[in-house]
Amino acid sequence: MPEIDRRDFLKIVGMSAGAAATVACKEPIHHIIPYLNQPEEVVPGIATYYNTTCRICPAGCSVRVKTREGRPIKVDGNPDGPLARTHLCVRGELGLMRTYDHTRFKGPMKRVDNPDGSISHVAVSWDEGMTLLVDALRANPGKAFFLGGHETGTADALIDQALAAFGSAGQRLRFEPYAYEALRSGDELVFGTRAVPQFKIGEADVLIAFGTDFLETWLSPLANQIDFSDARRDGSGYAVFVGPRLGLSAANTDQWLAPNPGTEVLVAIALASEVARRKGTAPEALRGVLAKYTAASVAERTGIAASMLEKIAERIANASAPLALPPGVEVQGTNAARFAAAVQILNVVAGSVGKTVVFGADHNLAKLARFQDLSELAGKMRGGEVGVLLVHDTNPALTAPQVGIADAIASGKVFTVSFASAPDETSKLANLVLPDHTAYENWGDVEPVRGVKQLQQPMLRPLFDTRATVDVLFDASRALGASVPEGSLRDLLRAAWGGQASFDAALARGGEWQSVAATTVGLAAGAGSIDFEPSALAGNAADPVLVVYPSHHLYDGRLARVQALQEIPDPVTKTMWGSYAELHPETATALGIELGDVLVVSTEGGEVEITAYPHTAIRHGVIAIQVGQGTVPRDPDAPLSGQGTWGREVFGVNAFQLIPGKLDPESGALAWLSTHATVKNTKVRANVTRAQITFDQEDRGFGRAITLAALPKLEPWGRVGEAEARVRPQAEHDGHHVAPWQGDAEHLMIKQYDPAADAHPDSPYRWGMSIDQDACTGCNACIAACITENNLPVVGPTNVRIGREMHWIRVERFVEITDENEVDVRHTPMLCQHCGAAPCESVCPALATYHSIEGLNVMVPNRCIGTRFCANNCPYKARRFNHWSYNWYVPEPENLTLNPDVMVRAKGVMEKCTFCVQRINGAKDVAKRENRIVGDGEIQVACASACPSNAITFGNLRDPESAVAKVRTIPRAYRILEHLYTRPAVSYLMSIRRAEEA
Amino acid sequence: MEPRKRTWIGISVVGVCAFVLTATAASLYEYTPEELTGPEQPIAFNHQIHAGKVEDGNLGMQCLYCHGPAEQGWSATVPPVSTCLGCHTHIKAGRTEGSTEEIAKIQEFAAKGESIPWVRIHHLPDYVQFKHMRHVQAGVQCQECHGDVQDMKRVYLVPQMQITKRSLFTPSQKLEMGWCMECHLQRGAPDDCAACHY
Repeated sequence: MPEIDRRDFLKIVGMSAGAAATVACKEPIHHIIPYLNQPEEVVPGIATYYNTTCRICPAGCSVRVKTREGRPIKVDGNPDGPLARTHLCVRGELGLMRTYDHTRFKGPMKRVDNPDGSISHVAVSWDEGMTLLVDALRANPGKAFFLGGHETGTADALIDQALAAFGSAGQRLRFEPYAYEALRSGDELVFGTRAVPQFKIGEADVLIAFGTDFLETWLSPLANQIDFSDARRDGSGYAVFVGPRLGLSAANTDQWLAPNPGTEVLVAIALASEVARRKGTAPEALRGVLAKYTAASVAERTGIAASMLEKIAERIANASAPLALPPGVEVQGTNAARFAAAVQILNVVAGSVGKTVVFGADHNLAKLARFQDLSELAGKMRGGEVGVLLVHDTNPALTAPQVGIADAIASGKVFTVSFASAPDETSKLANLVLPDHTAYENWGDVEPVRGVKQLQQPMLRPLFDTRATVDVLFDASRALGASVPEGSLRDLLRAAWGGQASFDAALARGGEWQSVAATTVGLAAGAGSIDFEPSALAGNAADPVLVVYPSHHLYDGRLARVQALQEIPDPVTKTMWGSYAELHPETATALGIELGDVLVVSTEGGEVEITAYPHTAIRHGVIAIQVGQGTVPRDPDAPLSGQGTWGREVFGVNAFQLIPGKLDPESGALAWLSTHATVKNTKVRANVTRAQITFDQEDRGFGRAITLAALPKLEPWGRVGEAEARVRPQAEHDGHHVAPWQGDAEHLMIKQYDPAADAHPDSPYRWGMSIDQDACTGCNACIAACITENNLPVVGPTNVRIGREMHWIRVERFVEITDENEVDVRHTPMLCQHCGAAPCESVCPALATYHSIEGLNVMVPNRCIGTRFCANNCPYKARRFNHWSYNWYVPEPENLTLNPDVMVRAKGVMEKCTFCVQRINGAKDVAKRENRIVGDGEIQVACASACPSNAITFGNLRDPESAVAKVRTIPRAYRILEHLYTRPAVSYLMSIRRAEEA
Repeated sequence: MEPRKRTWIGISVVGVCAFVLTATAASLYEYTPEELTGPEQPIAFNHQIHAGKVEDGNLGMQCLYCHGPAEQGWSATVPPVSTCLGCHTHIKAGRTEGSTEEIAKIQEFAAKGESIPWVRIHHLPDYVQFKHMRHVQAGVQCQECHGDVQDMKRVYLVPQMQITKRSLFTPSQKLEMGWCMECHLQRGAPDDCAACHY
């Protein structure tokens, strides 16, 4: 055998490897799988829209879902629905993610108690699951108990029928953590009715909210926000917030009063008294109680100066349609019902009842359980009165840890059946899990407000082996030999809606909306003798007061599994992925706490370990924690689990467990605000995952504001001199220092220019946008809409901390130094400005970003070679780089949420806001067929169509009649970083400071 | 110079020359349809019989009869099985040898409740958003991109002759951007990247 030397060997090996590689370069085989029978309404590649109801929170807004080839990909508000009106909130936009969650239950599960005491679940068949359920019901006749969420429609009645069939009629609670018990009892005290009326925020010219999170979770938050922005168009309206925290709702008001926690009730009744004195309209019955409280008499206890209350009372007395909003849960103490009564009395004396507080079309909350009922249920369970506990659409183990339902379940004495569609704290303990469909896979109907009846229809076939709970209960009833109506949930629903024809018509519309006549209410007999004393707080008075408040993104924790919601920065703290203990920086300093310190916060209720986050939007002497977290978010860093972390990870904690189980005796509500908390600093430093490091804009003029007084004097594009909104102290006093955006036009390089010019001369279009900062509440709905529309990935907390977040639009929050009590928080949505002279374009070596003939700053990811020069050169930080192929590895079926109209970007390329070019092209497809150009309003970019405040206007700048061209001529318009001569196509409208100068 | 080294140099020179000659020949070579038969399909569907000229004894059906969504939607789509059965519930005997068995396969798929896994021939990457409707509405004939499918017994990807900077005639078996752009520029269609890439 001839010898082969090393070099020849290498040559041969190299050549054969090369040959093998060449042969292997064969394209993979792709298949085309056509329909077997194509549905008539489906054209592949063309979206179909169906109306249904969003069941993410109890508000029950009517939505329109975009489906492609039988799978829903985007949710928008139903234009005909009275609650959503084409818009949608941040939760609703991402509600589909609950359906596509890959960690959902794939089928029925049975509990197994392991020898080591732990609990696990094994999969069983539906036959076995049903046998277990029926056996348990048979063994416990008359001892079944149904613990559900807020149900208002046909399913509600059907569940009652099934319970009757089990011999357990009426053994049922509809439990929600935000159940408005205090408001219902307060109305009973004042008006003698437990109805929750309509609060017409849209018609109120002066609004005063008492810790009411009306933009987050309160009653119908989306409708509230739409109304709120309507009431505040172009500088109208005035709003005051009374509460310990400058939360999302408070940040959008004009004046913030933070009385001593617990004494908010005194502010309400003193205001009522002052208003009554000014108007002289107090009903006879109330005179006595009102005389007891005046602005001066409560000043000491509340810590609010009498003059301040008198000024506000003056405003309310002079208003034509004032409105006081009853307290939200964060200020709900042991006097909750009386506090709500005090606010309603304020409405009575201000003349709001019948005007902005309208009974008749009431919120459908009458059947909701009180927190006290849940405590009683736990007692019954311990006492052996409940044999089978059926838990559906509620999670008491997370949201009501005080009452000990979880312990009662875990003890195994009560056979617990969970109908949860995804694992939660309660289903983790359940003996049997019979998963329900998610709302987008199921039939149903709701009536959140009297007269608003809405249908819910499946958007896709159930992804997993799940069954509708009503069907399961009815099957069990039949197995027990009881007679229940024949047919499935769908058949029964159709019958309830008056047969096929009217059912179909209602399905097409989304529901049936009737106007309900207003009813009048009088004062209840005892209204004059209510005692309005502040609620006492337990614990050491030197410790900070514990404020627990609802989550804007995660509601009560039911959305904690939606990773995209975890990654959207909180509207106030701008933190994501976890819980933070919020303190005022001065309180933190006094306690020796710094940002990121791990604190041990304890009360009678319990103890949590939590990261400290000092910021100024909170009262002194208060520690605030958001609910909603409490389980470790599922695989937060997948698929990047190999990445190291540099600090200690402290994820969310369940803030509910800190609330001691004290009740308001009158309403049976849980007293959320009832204790001081002991804070111990462990001195361990944890990671803080946040999107914004400072709320100070360092004089760069991003978010600008103008006082109401200066508004008429403002000149178009007025960046000059006196009319300018707010000059910070150093600019005023230091003659040399003028911020670049503040000088007069000659000082600057700014030339007046027309952004409409920045497109090809022959193009009929130049796309542009205008954002009204005064309307923007910072609710983040735009971010959520952008995520679903443009296939934005979730990157996980580790990546966020090293600046790799992928949101194309962000809402920047700037807090200006304000006079006492004035609120000046500016929300500036920031996205690609589609500059006419874009700094990113000139530095791209691959021509992957360029200016299109229609004026778009186009990014072509498939052309990008990843130098990142463009991102480096973008003064707006609008560009995002794919450090990983994030969305390529999402587990099935989560990939089904991806929008097929938009490419899924891979590792190594840049991306950014495209002005929803897929929608622009879609509108042009239609226009081209009809041989015309695209008209105004035909294109709605995702962020603009979601925005509940109507803050975003998008359109063609070359059409002088377009809405966007018109809104840019408003004097409040300005452009950000214009002095860099980038010629941005996005203009902003200054926010308006309505509070008078101190 | 060592003889061993000389041998290697000689081999390399011959190899390079052979490569250049073959490459030149290949680039000038015109494929004939018979050589490009395309992949085997689950059912040997014959476009010629369905869409071929009536004069030649074929049925002369319009493309859009089966590929109707090409006019309204993004994809031309392969028709659903129900469309095949619209005729083939009645027409069970084939004209050519073996075709009766192939027609029977449609019934089998339908009976099983399964769809037919056709093998994709015209494949565009995910970063191209191609809309059939815009092209059909602009009057582009199917044959301009897909070749004379009505004469194909089995569909194949027609090599597109394109003139590029690198070579004069490069038969490309792929639907490449240069080839798209040539037509777009000739017809005054958009040459904006964002018309297709987003």
